[in-house]
Amino acid sequence: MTLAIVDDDQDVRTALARLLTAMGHRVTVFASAEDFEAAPVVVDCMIVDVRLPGINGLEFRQKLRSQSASVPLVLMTGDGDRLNRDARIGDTPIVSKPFDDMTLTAAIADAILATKATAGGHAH
Amino acid sequence: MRTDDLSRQIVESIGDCVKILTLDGRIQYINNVGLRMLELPAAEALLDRPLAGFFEGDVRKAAESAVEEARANRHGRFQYEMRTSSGVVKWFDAVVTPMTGESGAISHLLAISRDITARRRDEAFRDSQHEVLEMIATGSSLAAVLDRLVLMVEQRTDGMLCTVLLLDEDGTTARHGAAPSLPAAYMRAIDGLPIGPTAGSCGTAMHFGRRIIVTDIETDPLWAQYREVALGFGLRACWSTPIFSPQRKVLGSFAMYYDQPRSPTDAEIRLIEHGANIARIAIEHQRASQAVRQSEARTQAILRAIPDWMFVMSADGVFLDCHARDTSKLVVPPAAFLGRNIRDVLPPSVAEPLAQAFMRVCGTDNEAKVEYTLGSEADERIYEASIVSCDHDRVLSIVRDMTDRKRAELDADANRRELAHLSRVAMLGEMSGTLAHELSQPLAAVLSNAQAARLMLDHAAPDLEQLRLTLDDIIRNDRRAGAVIDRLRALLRKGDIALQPIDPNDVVKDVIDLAYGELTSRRVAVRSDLSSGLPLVLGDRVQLQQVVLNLLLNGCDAMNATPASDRQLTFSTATHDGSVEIAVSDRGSGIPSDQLERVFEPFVTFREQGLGLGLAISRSIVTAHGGSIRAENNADGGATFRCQLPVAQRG
Repeated sequence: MTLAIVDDDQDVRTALARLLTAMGHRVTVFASAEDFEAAPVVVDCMIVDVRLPGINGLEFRQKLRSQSASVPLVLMTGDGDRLNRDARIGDTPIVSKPFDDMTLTAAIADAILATKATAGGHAH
Repeated sequence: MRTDDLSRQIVESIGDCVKILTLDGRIQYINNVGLRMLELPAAEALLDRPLAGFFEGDVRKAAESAVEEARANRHGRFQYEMRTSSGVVKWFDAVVTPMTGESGAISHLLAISRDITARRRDEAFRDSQHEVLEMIATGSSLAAVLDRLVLMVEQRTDGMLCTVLLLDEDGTTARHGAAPSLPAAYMRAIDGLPIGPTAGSCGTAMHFGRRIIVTDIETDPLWAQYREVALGFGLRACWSTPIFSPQRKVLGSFAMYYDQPRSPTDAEIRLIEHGANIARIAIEHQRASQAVRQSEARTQAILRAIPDWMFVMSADGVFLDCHARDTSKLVVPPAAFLGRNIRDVLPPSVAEPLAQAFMRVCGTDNEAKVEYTLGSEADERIYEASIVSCDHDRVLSIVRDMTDRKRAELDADANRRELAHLSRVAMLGEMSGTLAHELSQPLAAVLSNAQAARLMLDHAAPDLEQLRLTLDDIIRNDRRAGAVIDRLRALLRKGDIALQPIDPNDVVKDVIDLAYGELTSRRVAVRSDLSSGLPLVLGDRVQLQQVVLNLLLNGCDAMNATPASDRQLTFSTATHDGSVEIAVSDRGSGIPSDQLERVFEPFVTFREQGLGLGLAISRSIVTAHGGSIRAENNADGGATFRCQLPVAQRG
């Protein structure tokens, strides 16, 4: 799979990229939503931190969803964003840091399926 | 006989009373001046009568011995009082000398009497004046002094009666001052009358502030209202002069009355002014001593009201005087220390610093404060002495029992620490979300790295370099999490204040680091404008962090309604005038100008969260550090909180 990680924390970004690479995925990292928008890549799923400087994760999701192509999206939270850790927003699952590889894999799968279902529900 | 004629001519031309006596003292001749003095038409009634026979008692003896002296060829002298045929008493000074006849023997005696009535009056007047001034000086009552003054002036001139009226403080009412010789009923009648442009002689004199001469009360229009009263008591002329204070304020009037119409002679004008002058001295003196008494009474009242003890000490430490409202509270009773040196009364650890302060302060404008403790270990009390110089060789030591205040200060200190701690806990509670994020970031990195490492190990040929990097990251992120916990632990710690020299910039940086998550999640950009090379301040790191953190959170709250792109918090530090300023500026809507002070009151809050104690506690922390904190609105919007802290003294 090709994945994009958006997180302003370099340690988290590096560790997550390392894990996902070790799991066999191709990973591109971004420090902010703006960085992604400046050089967008097409990926199977995006893993985005909720708390970001500038455009935050929730706003970024809104922007992506307002565009025609619906990329699967997983939001990460440090529990500091006052979101319920079990919640999801529409087709977007939310994982709470720290999370293990199983949780993340499940969330990515969930996101891809949910996005497909939503897309399928439309005219396609 | 030619000689005799010549002698007679000389004798008649002398202005004194000249009598020629026989050797046995009989009057043989009296000159015309003498007859006029005695108001006698002719000499016959006196002739051939012994001179001494006109006197009685001591004066007769004096006259006899004067005659005896002259017969012995010496000068005899005596003084006598005599009532003239019109009833006026006159005083005479008489000299008796021998007259030598042609044979060379004493043939007759010559008695020359001089009228010394005026001189005697002058002397009596001077004596009275001394007496009056002495009464003033020795503090006799004003009424007694004025009575004596009036009698003195009356004694100077025959048939004249005087009054002193006093003008009330209100400046409109005349009051009885002194009139020992005028009928009491008359004085009662004029007591309390208002002064004015036609209020008799005295009322008018006080009204216009100038001398008023009424030569005939019966006709003068000034007396229209009081004519009947005055005439009823046989008063016909009244001259009055105002008594002025040195500031030309009218104090009263001095007046002379006569029972017949007349105007004053120059001498009488001088006398009335003289009387008014002495009355002024008496009134002024009485008012001054009244003021001194009142001032003394006030001082006594103040002394009674002061709970402090006061000791007058010599510069070398001897107790000279002491004032204490309750001497039983003194550690040593006054009798045991007055007159003794402080070094012999108090233990050296207390006496020495006090004695040194006495020496230091004496004769200067400086004040010294010495704090010391006295009493048993079980009941030790804390005192503070404020020492000032009171004479060139004495000092005043004002001692206050500070025990209760010190204890209250310690209690207040403990309360403030407790409250500050609770406030920190509450503040961190508000931030719990972002603080958890601070921890979850490194923990997430640790977990991801650890799992990545395990996956790497599953490879046939693991990349050891990648593994080492991964493990290094795990260690670093673990330490990062530990640092977050340490910071929180420090803020949550409930310890004594630990004052140490601190760089204010470090405080600001620590807080910005701690609140990084909070700032990011609230979309608040931070600008730091920190001066380099700031002097250190003496403070408690945690408490100062608390203040800055509180300002940070307040600033964030103030910008809740501000568009995200405008949310900026500026931290700046600067130094001036021995203090360091930490300022935090937001871009919110500012604080209503009448609330700029109120925001520091407890439970006043503009925030949705929190008790409204943050700024109140911040102020108490800053004040305890010897600094100050205030809020102001920015010209371009938002508010700035400025916190001034004193620079730590070196050494």
